[in-house]
Amino acid sequence: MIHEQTVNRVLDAALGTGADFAELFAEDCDRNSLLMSDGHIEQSVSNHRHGAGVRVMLGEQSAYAYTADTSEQALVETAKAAAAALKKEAARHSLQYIKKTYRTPQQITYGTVTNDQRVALMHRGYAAGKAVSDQIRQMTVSYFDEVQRVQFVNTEGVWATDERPRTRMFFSAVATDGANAEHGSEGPGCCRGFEAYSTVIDVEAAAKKAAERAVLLLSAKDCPGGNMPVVISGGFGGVIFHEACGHSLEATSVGPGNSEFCGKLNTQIAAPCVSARDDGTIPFEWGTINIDDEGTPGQNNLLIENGILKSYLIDRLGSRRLHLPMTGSSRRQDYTFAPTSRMTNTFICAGSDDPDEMIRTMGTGLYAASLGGGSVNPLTGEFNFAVGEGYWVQDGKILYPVRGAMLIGKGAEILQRIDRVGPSMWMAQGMCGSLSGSVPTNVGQPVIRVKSITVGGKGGAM
Amino acid sequence: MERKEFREELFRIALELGCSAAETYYEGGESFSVSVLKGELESYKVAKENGMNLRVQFNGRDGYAYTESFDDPEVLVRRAIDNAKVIESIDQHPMLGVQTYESIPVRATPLDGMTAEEKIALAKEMEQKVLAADPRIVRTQGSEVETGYTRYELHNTLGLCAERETNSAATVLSAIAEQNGVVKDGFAARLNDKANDIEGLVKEAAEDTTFKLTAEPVETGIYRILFKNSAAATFLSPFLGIFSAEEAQKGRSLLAGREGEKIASDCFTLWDDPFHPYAPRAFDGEGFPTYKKAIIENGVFKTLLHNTKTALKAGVQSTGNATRRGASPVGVGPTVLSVGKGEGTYEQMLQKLDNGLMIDGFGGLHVGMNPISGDFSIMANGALVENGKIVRAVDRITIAGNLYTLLKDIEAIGADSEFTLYGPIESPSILIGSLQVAGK
Repeated sequence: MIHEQTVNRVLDAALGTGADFAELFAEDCDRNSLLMSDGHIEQSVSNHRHGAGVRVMLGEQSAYAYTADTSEQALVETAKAAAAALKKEAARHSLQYIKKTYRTPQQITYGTVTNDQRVALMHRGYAAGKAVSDQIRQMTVSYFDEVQRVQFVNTEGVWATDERPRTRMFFSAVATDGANAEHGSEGPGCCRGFEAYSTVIDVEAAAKKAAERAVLLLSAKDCPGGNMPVVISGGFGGVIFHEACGHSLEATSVGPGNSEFCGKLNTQIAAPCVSARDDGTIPFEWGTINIDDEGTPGQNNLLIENGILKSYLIDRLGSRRLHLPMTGSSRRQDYTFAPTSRMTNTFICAGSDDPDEMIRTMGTGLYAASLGGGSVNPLTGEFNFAVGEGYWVQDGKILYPVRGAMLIGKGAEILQRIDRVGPSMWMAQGMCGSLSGSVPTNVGQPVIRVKSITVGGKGGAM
Repeated sequence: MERKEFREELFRIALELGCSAAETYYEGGESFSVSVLKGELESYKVAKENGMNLRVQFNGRDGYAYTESFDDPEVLVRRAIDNAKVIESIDQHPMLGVQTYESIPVRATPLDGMTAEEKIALAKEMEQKVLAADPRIVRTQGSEVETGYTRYELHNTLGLCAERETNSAATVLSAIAEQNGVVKDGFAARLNDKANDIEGLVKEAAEDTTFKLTAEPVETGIYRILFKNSAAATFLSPFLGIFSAEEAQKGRSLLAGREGEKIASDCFTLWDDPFHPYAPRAFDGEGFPTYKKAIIENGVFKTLLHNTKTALKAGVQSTGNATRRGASPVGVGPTVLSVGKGEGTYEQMLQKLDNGLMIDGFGGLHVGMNPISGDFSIMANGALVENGKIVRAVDRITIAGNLYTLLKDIEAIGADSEFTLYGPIESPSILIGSLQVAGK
């Protein structure tokens, strides 16, 4: 990585115009991605990402410059480009570091894995998905693995290197009955070496789920619209919390005063049955971090306890704005982004309510067995997410599958309307997009019930 | 290593190691962006980007490898060859040799030549003006100026040489308004040749934001809908894959094999226009000379979009729609899409709407659309229209329907074309017979 002498010259240049803090982030990442379409490998790409960024801060101002060229000259120029935003006298400083090394252990490193091994996995998934039904017209399998090596150095003495393996497969099935086409997908991933595929990722099971969902949706009716109770399944159902609450707790929004949860610490923001965490320390999970992208070790952050807001997610800039400690939550897609506070593995904690009772006593409404993605405006709290696989419930009985539902609402209201939380929590993988790019995050929850949400669908008024 | 030397080494080694051909796609440039908040610099970003995408043909298969550091050419070539060896698809993807292209001048923007200080001053001016535009506007979420320059270079061992540059600029202004305890935000942006239209930018940001202050949902039901111009373009953007021959050949587009069929109203025409001043270019992502074509003409579906691979498979010519970005292999996509103009200003289109909803914004667009079936169920906002006049703002509703049904349900198209901020698509306002709306 970058030697100390060069680092010192870079940080010196960064501090030259009066910044009170500077940091260098260097990245070298090797990624392999393959795409299989209808049983044939169609694309295979190797991607070597390499570059570095320098950030300077003065109070709540910041400037960022990055370059793909990591020669000393280019890095010093980059530091000066960032420093050009400020126009003060340089303060005296001396640079000393406490050096730490982090590495997620891997049993089988990706550098030793051949393309044949990757392709074999993809064929297994393809076969399992296709075998679900002859209505599966098309099955796409994509695979990637990568090792990201990063180096952080800052003027507060942090010097950390981290080696981060990551892998994910994505199965996408298209089913058709001649008249309509529907799709289903499933994408398991984690931060492990290639041993992931013989330990925690079940390729056949994931492919089958994607295919089964596509076939199910062929016979689904259009979901009716209106305000109604909704039971949301666990795992990827956690995207409701991610959108309704998670983003609005990031200092990215809270710091500048642009969140509906500003000034609400230690107040009741959710129903008492709701507790939630953002835990970046769970070993090997998709959203897990050893250190965040400012060099701060990941933490298990309790966000909500029995409905009371206990913590925001705070990066360095957020810490300056809010006068609260950093929470190990600063992340970025790669060196072409400055970091900001983001989520890691975010979930509603397990409760003790009975999932069967939730459906039995809900009256008429929607059971969302799987969700698609969503988005939120943290300022107003208005969020939305798509339902992938849904079931219409009439008088407490599941009747038939429905499709095309979209759930919308305001975060603060929805959190107060959760009235049941099931006994076992699980998580699912997603990609979260925001100011610092796209980062891998887990969402999670047990089965929960929301007393009423606005549901949109083509199926007429409920 | 210098770029040219690196490229020449890549070609030399690739041919030496048994590749029949090799191609490099280089994308590099510089960009600058600054954001001002409360009269102070809030963020400032300077970037230098550089990436080389190597494509080799080995035993008739394509392999790709991408790098952002121009050293170790042999490592890159070997990776690309490894990737070629694993390809099982039998689709041939011809590489192009020497071509001649139209000469397209580098698009200039009004922000070219501005210094960093001048851009910061501009961002401050934008913020001051929007705060002064309406007493209910209390602050912004940032006032931004962005400029960039990108160079694209395509070369291969068959003699292809295609190089171009482009400048870009954007001014983006957000605003937050408060009234009676209600807080709403809005924004506006101006791109490229319009980037210095500060008066228009400020007016739109202020009006977009304050209008939403009294927004309420409407009753669930079926409504006549007017998609305002840029919103119509935004709406179309996640569906563009349906026009890709790649998607059609993979069974992921319902338009496969339906050329010549009437799929939309008579008044609907959709152009793919690579020479549109918004983003002109003479060659596509694999160096094929581009040309303007109608995808849909007077409601009739005319052609899918092709690159040389999909064209060969379909027995037709490439339509000059190959895409190439960063590390990705050659794909297929539109250049600049333009919905053909009809008649009428925005106000006249509101008159034609008569009673219904005007939609000018969405939420959850990409997750609520199913590009395979054409179904959509998405959050929307806009205004309630009665007797051709806007009565009040509307938000927190969803609209649901199917794209293919909607295309046939288009009643009228205006002449008020605007681009969306979310892709190279422009459209006038579009009047639709009916959509399902869920609200109260």
